[in-house]
Amino acid sequence: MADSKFEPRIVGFLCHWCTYTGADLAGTTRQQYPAGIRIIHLMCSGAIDVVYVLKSLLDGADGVLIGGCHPGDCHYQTGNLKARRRIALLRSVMETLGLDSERVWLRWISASEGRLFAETIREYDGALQDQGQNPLANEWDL
Amino acid sequence: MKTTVIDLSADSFNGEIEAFLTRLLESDLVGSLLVPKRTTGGDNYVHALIKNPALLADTDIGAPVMPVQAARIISNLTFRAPGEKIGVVVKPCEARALVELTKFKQIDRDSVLIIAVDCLGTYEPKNFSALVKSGKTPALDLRKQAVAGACSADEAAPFRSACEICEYPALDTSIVDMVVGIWGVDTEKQIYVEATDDLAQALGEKSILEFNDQENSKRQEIITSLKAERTKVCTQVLGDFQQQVNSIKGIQELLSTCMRCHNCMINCPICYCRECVFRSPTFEHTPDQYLGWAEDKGAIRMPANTVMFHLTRLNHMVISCIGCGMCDTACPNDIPVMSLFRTVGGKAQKMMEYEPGRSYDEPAPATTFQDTELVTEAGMTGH
Repeated sequence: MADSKFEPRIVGFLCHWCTYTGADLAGTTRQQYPAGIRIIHLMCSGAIDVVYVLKSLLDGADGVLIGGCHPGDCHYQTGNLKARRRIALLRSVMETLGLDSERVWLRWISASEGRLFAETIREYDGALQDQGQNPLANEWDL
Repeated sequence: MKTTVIDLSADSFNGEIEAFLTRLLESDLVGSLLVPKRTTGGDNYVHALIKNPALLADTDIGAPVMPVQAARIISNLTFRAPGEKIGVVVKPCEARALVELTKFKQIDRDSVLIIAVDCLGTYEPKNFSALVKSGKTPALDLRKQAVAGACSADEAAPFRSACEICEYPALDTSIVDMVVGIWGVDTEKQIYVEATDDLAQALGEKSILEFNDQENSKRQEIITSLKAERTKVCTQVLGDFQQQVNSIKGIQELLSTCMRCHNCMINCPICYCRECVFRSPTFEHTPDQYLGWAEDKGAIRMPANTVMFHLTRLNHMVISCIGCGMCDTACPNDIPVMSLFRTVGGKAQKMMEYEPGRSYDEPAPATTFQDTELVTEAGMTGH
């Protein structure tokens, strides 16, 4: 690759009531984090369908982050816990088929945790640097 | 549970069953019956929804062919309460699919009286047709073998691959109302029946069928050993399959000939959505979107999203996959979809401690959750 440094591209599906606002807080409090994340606003982590996670990965995103409320804090009571089941299932499917399940992260980050949001993105960016580019980015036959 | 053994006069299995179904249909226990019936062409059996008892002729509850999964038909008949009880004669995998569809509110359980028949294995419809056309009697040939506890497919045609690894060749009355036992039963002389207490009492009171409490311990032994043997074969076959499909390259090779016809989805009893996301406006892309993706990657397979279709379908319904193999039967290019689903499903079901078709009372995993669970599986350990 011509680029000297690999900059992972992360697609973030973030809950309106917590992580999305946490990301906002990270910005207003001038937390530094890698710019490779593209944020998609959801009303709840429980609104995520795997089809969008898979679309991101198959189109070449290096990682997908789903951000939801801490257990007990879900604005809709339990959407986050349903999301956890869905992500556990997705990761199981990926692992069985030999796909890299560490390219899907689910994290609980509240609206007040701007610092944690920035830390999480830095951590994910670092992990993806180690994993390298998503090999699916170069696959046409999908 | 009540049991009974019916003694037959000279080889009248189908005749005795037909007489029973006639009495059942004429009673007020059901208003109609859904039974496999020989087609006019003579080389296939399809489920017929029967109102007139005279048309119970040419039915065969154990026909070793499954051109359509009955659970799909029963869903069409009872997603709204039909206003009468329908007696349905099904194979074990069809009954297990009924359990899953009941959980998804696609079947009104109170509107069906389920009669499950031991399954000796099924042929692909085209193979079954060819066997019949060559003058063979596949149903009878298998039934004669079943008494000894092992059924071999005709030398001219194998069983469907799903049947080869099926661990549910027979059911008990925990998920159905009545069972017609064939494994371990000398069907030239006898018919073995189990029914729930309530149904047995109703059948007795209406003189449809008397329950004499005779049991068949041989059938139970055979089923236990069949299950153990099939489980072993299944583990072996799916283990080998996973060795082939353990990377993106393996997935690409598996789906190489997929033409995105959606036949696997259309024929799957568990894929019940009236509008699938893959047939919705979400996937009606504009020309510039396709061109943009092609620009990004240099090229894209068309029709687009083939791998995504299968991976998404896995995520959406594999937990409830009962392994009937209709996807294999439906695939025009012989992609082993069933092996893919059973391999992935086996691991996912184990993770969720869920067995599809086991019980009406266990909620479908996607509809429920525990407060603390799956932290490791969701990749959240330490966070």
